[in-house]
Amino acid sequence: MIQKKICVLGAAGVGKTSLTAQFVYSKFSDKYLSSMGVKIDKKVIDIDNTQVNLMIWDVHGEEKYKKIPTSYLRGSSGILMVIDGTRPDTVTVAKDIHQRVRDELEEVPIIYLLNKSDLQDAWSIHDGLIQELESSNRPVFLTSAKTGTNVENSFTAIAKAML
Amino acid sequence: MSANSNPNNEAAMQELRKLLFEKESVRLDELEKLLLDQKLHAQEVAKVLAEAVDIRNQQDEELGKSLAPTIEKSIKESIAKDPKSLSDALFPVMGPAIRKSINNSIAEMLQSLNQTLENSFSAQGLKWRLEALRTGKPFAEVVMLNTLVYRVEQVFLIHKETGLLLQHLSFDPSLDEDADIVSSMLTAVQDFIHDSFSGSTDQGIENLRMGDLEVIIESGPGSVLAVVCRGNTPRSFNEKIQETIEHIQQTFNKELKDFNGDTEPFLGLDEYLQPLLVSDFKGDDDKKKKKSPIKAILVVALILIAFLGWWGLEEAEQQQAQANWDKYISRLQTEEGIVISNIQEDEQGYTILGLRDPLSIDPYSLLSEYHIDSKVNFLMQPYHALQEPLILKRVAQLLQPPKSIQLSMNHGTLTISGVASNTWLSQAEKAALYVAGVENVDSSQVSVLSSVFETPQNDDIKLDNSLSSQPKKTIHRNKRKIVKKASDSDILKRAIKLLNPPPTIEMIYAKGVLYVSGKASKSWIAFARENFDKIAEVESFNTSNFTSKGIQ
Repeated sequence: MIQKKICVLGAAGVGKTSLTAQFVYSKFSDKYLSSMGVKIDKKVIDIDNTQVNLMIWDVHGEEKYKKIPTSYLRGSSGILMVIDGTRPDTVTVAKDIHQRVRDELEEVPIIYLLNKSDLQDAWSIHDGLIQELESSNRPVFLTSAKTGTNVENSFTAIAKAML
Repeated sequence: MSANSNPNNEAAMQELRKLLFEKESVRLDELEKLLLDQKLHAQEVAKVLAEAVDIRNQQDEELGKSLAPTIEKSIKESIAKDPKSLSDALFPVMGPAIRKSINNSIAEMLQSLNQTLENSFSAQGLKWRLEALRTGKPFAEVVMLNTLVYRVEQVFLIHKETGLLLQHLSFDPSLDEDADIVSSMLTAVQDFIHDSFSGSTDQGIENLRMGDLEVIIESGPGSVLAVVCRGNTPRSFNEKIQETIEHIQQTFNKELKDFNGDTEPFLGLDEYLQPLLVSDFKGDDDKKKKKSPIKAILVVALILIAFLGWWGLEEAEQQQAQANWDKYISRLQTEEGIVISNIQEDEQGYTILGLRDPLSIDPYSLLSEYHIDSKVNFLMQPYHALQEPLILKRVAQLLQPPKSIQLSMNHGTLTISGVASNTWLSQAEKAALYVAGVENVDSSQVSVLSSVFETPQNDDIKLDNSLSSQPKKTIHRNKRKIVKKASDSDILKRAIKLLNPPPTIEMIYAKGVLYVSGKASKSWIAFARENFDKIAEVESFNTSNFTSKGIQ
């Protein structure tokens, strides 16, 4: 069996934990996230007849005075970068984190998730951003942790990208 | 003419050579210079040395081997010259290594000491001391062997960089399911602690402890071995873990470096990790399992022994009591004046029915002699027994004879002997015949006192009316002597007659005292002492001048 470590990153409150919870069965409670800054879950998925055991590190949200510890990124084979579609400032945070990931890790696949796609009224991300990301070879998924839209697809996509 | 002989020719040749080979000559000179000049040679070698070493190292290991003696020699020389520079250089490496080694040793020592102290003065401690004496092992070692109870529950081999699980072993298969999450979490915890407390990069967490559960963590460059133990593991176990991770690191160095998430190449790790999955040689469970039946058997056996003992004791007591009772009854049956007709036994005790002469022995008084605790009730009818000892008792009770009188019975004849007053004797002779069983009275051996001052102690003899009967035979008084009030000389004569003293003895009588002096045999003296009071009026016997011969 292939095992891969992936990190779910993004600004605080973008829905990282909700997205992960949609995808996996959780062994540990969310209290680890607030105390240790990370909660680890796993999910075995099948990619082209290959069993892949995804170890999903749900890292706490990046805040001004609470940076993501780089030690948690070490050894990751892929990154899910989550943006809150209703908060444009989370795009900047995501780009910041992206830069740090590049510094810390060798080239690893990064997928952008524009979350809260169910909140169309409050949506404030321009299509231009999506095009910009896609043009720089960064796949983008419009997801909703609430409805489950594209959640599984995005995890499968990162798994495929890592193999 | 040769060229050598002609100097002109020689010069011409030189000129010619110069013209033809000047360039080559200069180059030859340069080459010669290069070959001979060491300095220039070194410069040339220096240009390619690094590359040459690289190339040779890739080809084989010879360079290292050939350099080793030189390096050793240079290190020696360096230390001899100035030890400080080398120790400064080694300090960052040696410091942690020495610290770790010392810590290990001290911890091991403390563990051993604690256990030794704890167990020195207990019963268990004494047992182990005996074991140490018997086996010749040091006491501390015996204690260690007996007390180190632990079990390794899980072994995780974790890829250091990714935190992914490479191999997992556990004593309980149900723990396998989430081992990969635990492995990642363990890595995260390590990172978290490391980041939070700013540990230096070369130091990792070595131990996590919660109650009697301990996670021992040993890190290699590419992998981490986490061993979950319950109980107290010996220090030597840590060394075993260290050796294992070193071994794994050596064998799987390349695979660990190139790890891309595929755990296939690490399947062979089982054989390295399996030896770590040990449980302690003297498990608590085993002890309990072995001990409990012994305890149970002992308890049952003790109860059985106690019961048998109690039962046996009861039985023995009962038998003893029965034997005592039998002896008591047979004693009563042989006792004169007691006739047993029936013995009844019930819950209350015994009831004995029969006849009893009031003058016979009191049967109650004999109970304690035979240790009989049971309640005994006597329903005895009174009667007069005709056995001679009882007749004699009855006669004595009736006649109340003075001390000077002896009574005896023989085949129905009561014989009265001694000294008595006439009044008492005549009453006694009559009264005795009223006692059942007395057929004749023989008073021929009685000396009668006739003095008016001399009166028998008991003049009135009361007849037992209930048993009175007519005298059956005549009284023999024919031989009776009547004694008058005697003078001192008469009394002395009587004394001489009665005591029959040997010729060596002189006797004088005065005022109731018989004075005896001289020599006599012991037997005569004893006889005289016993019998002097039978002589009427002699009240005391003075032997102050007596000398005993001591021979018959």
